[in-house]
Amino acid sequence: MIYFFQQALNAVQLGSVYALIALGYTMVYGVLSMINFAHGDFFMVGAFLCFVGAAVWHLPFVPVLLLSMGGVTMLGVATERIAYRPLRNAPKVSAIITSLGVGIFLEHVTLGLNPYPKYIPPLLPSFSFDLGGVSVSTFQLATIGVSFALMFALHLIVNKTKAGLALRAISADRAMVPLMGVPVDKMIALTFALGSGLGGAAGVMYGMAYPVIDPYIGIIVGWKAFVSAVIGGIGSIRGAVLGAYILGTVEIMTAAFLPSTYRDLVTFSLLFALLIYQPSGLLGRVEIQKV
Amino acid sequence: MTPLLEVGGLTVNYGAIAAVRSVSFEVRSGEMVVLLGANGAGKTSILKALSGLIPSGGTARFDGADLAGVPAHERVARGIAQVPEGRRIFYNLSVKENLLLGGWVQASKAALKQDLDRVLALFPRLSERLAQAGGTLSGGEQQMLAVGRALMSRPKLLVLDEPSMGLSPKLVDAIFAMLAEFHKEGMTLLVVEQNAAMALTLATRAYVLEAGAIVLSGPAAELRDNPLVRRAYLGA
Repeated sequence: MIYFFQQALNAVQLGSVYALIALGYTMVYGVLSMINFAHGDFFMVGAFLCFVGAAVWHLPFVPVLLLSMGGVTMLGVATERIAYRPLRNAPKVSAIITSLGVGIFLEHVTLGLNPYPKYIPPLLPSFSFDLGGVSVSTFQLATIGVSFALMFALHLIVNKTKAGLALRAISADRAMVPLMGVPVDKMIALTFALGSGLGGAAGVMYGMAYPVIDPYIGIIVGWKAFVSAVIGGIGSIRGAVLGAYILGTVEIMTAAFLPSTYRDLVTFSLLFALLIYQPSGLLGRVEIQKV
Repeated sequence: MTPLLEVGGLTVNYGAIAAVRSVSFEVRSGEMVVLLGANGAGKTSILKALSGLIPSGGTARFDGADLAGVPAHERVARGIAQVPEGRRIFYNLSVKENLLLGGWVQASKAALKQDLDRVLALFPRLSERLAQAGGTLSGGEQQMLAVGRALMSRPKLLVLDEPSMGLSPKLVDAIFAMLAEFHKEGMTLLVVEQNAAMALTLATRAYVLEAGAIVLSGPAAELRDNPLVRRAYLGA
């Protein structure tokens, strides 16, 4: 039983990383109906900025977190401005293909700068608490605490601010939002800023759990986070978080109780099964084709 | 006095198709101007071009300033508010949020609150439904919300695209009575309508559009007696 709770804690930790990344996919989809396949690589850049902050500049945890979040925020905003905005009125597939290209570009710029895998030194003093037999590490505590805090902050921005009101309106009917006097381009840039910032934070959280990083970590982790967003219903913020924790739990529990090689098999089988019965995801809305 | 809105040689093209061909019209302060025309005559395209939602050629001056190159959201700040065709309520936002979004250009919270109270006094039905999602309202309530939302920006010119569309005859009467009231209070209105009989009774002046061009214009009372208008739009 203790073993189960220990694994449950690991599931919450992994789910938190997926959730932070999945939010970026779902928010961009929510406002643009576009899937930004470069988002996993934004996360990877966040992990490398974490490496730079921790191993090169020897910064402590909070400045490293701010560095990764700030750097990836700028990367996301710049990518939208340079690569996606010119394609706003092009067929959707053009922007999606472009995002795949941006992802590969980021992987190879990173590879060019870092030909060998990098090791991120511990960002926090490494010790564990005993919680009724379950061992809780400082890394787990920081990951879960920071993720919850960031998700709560996002919740407040989306639901309690004027900008959040505009974002929700854009997700319902983007074409009408300019008639309200809202500068839609700025709001889309804000979406990329928020989503990318969370992706940067996820890079730090991931780097604490799995400290050896290479330029391709964004691919599989990005796919998993994307799957999380789809399970929850892409476009839905609550759905992305729910999907991420479900996926984190399924992955950890599969590895804990079945041969660990089954992990991705089970994960993606779950995705197929869910999509057959609930094509719009758990909390997604049924897409109504506009006439 | 220069007109509030002065449009000259407006053209709108969708690819090779010319939807609006060199249309010129004006709206003076305090007027209620109606654009009449059948489906596909270019009425909605004119309004979309006016609000900056679609690219257009020609000139447009509003309140003494050129509108060329002014993005859609800034036109709202300058005083043009549009109630779009089909109402286009944000179904996922509450009634209150729809109204607050309409007041986006208001700089102060006090002004926003004041306008919210004013709009709710005008549409008491909406104040009963403030927390309800916009998508759950009936057609008539949505039309009230769409008008209220546009009023939240304190427009100098209120533009309405077929406000009577899809509403029961009783509601159509109510909407037009409301527009007449706005006009009486001195508001400037530009209305696109297919309900020509009703529109010509209330308007100051009217323009008749056919295939993207103006074929007739004049005081509404004159057009009401024009044999062409009577045959084409009034079923007489």
